[in-house]
Amino acid sequence: MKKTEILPKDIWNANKMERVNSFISNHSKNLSEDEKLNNKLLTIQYKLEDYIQKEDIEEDEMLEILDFVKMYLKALNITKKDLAHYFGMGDSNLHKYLTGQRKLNPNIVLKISSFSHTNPEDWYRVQVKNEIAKLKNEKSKDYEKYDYKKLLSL
Amino acid sequence: MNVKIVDFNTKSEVEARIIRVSKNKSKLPSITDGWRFNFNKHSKQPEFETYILITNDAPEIIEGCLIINTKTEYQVYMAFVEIAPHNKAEHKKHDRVAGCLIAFACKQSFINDKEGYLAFDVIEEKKEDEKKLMQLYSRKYKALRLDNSTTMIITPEGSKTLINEFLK
Repeated sequence: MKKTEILPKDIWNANKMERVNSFISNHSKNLSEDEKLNNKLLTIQYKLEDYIQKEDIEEDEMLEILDFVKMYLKALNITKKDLAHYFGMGDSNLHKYLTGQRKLNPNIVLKISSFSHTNPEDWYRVQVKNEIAKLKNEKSKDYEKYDYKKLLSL
Repeated sequence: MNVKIVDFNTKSEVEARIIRVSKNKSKLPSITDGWRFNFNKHSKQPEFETYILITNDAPEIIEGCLIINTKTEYQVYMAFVEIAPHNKAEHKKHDRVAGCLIAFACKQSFINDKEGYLAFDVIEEKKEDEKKLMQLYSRKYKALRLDNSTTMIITPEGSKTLINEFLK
């Protein structure tokens, strides 16, 4: 029997889209505040995981730890100053950690991960990923010589 | 992203990954390869993102293919999902491929700020096959049928369940 292929334009039209949107809009409105917040926090966690797993990060795609923390602050409707106070540190001191001016340490990482219900290691991964991406973008050629095959003349 | 599928014969876990395919850069499955959809052609559409699932041991073999549209307003639309012919029916090589790809599409819905809503259509030539497939999607992948249409929707709750089941 000849196989026929179904194309998206045959089924996904404006009328269908409107019905789907209406269903989703109503469904979303009926979620409890807790569920909505939970979904927002999950979204950030998945963005964090997705960022860590991306193989190559271009300069314009780079996200700092501050960007992820800002997502949490927006979802929870609090300021960075509130968070710094909650962590028992000054706003500018926290800002330096979040922007990479100061290297993360276990104390700050555990505070952020406990606050956001995420893995502490994920925050280090973002920092390392960004550092390597920056260096690779700037000087990738400089590192190509460090190859065991070249050392052993293979 | 890294996922685990199952060798159907030995029931052992197989390390695999879902990777995005750049437009025009890879040869994708098509009808002439025994697949139902022409992924090679559809992946070229600007609004679509294409992903393939491959194992770490044999990355040259595509185990499943997914095309989604993340630009729709309230949801991610799963335009095409298909598992390789060798993963179909009783002599299939791998299991869980479809689950991993659908759960991945659900995760993309969260990542693209669509709250975990995933929509797709189920269309078969025979209405009875369509009904069976919808029942399967409903039972196995937590999808809800929209009115009496061919469209199904996975809500955030269903998405979370699938992500935990297939992507953890």
